[in-house]
Amino acid sequence: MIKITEKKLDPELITNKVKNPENGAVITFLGTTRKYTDNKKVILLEYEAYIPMAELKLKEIVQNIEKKWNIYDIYIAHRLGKVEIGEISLVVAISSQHRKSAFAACQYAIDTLKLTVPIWKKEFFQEEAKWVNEP
Amino acid sequence: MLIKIKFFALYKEKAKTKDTVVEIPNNSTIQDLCDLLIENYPNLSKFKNNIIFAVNYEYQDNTYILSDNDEIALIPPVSGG
Repeated sequence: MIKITEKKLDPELITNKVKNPENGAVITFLGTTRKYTDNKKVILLEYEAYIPMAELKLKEIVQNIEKKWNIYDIYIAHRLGKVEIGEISLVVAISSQHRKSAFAACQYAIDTLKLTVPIWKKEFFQEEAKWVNEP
Repeated sequence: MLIKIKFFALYKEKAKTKDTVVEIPNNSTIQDLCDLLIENYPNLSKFKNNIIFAVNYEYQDNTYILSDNDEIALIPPVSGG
């Protein structure tokens, strides 16, 4: 499953969705918003997405995990809009029979998301605001 | 032909709009469209070598030939997570 939402993410709810009695491993990764970037204090973050394309690219990540690791219990959720410091912006929950493939698939999901999914983060500092990775 | 354009994040702020429709000759490429957009939105010119284009939700390179009613998005460097 995938989800892109302006609502707060509930990692426990998301984790429960991937739990499966046939599996011995559940991994839930949380991406949380950081207080400092280059020693500058971040006050607030805001996420924006090209929603239909972001959903498509997240579904591709899920399909690739299914094919590569035979893992079918996957939930990726991303938050949009204004997010306070320390809140959860990303949840990747994966369960599989064994831990090794679950760790590998989880790492793949996050790394690929950061390269391909059209979502952007803006950091608001005391005196300025900047898009992360701005060229 | 008419092409729908969407701007996001940094490029939306620079172009001061989130979308537009442009008329462009048949068989134009993404590169042709890019040149036209830079002309229409000079604030984007400093990013002209960084802009990544998506056509109907798929990334395409600058040689891609556009079709009528394609939905194009200018994709700034992504930073999700």
